[in-house]
Amino acid sequence: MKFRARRFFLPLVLFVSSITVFGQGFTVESKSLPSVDNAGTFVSLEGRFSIALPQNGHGFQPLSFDSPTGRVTGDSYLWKLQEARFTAGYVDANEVLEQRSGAKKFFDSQRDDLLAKASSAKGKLISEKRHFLKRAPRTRNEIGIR
Amino acid sequence: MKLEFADGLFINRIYLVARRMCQVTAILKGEQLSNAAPAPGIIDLFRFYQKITNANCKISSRRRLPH
Repeated sequence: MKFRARRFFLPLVLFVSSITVFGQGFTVESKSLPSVDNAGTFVSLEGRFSIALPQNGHGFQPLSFDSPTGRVTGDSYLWKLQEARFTAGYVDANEVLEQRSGAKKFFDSQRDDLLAKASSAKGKLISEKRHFLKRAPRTRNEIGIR
Repeated sequence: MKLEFADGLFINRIYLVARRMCQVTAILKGEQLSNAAPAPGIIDLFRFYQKITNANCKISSRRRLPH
């Protein structure tokens, strides 16, 4: 199956569009913003993920677009906190993404697109790491909340 | 992946699991850079699950991003 990385990466532009905040002047982040301290854990049932960010007080944006293999959907969440501005989200494709050959192209494309956007704001890559797990986390974890 | 800008730092992580892609980012600017330690730690705590048990699990309210 030919991997259509470029076409699939349209949603990533949505995810990383926040990179455009750089190089546009100084922005003062208010100290009245909430902090990650004692923030608890945010859980997305649809996204099947959790992260140590506040359960409330975040933004939400549904993601949906057409890809060569069909409709792709997901969600994106945004937190503006004292410590940083965080986003977490997901999209579901119509083909398996995690196979090693396809994943390499996927990440290569992602890096190239991101660096292209960053270069316009005089950004530079300072580190990049990739990990391929023999067992995907999905096979061994589940979360239960009481 | 970590990108450095003149006025900030951008941290980007992507996870591929089967058909799903998850992405987590952190943007630090201004005073946030002087205390950048929590951001990578927060991202480290990202977890993806095959399924989430217990129907009583609360999902956060959905709100549109401000324009």
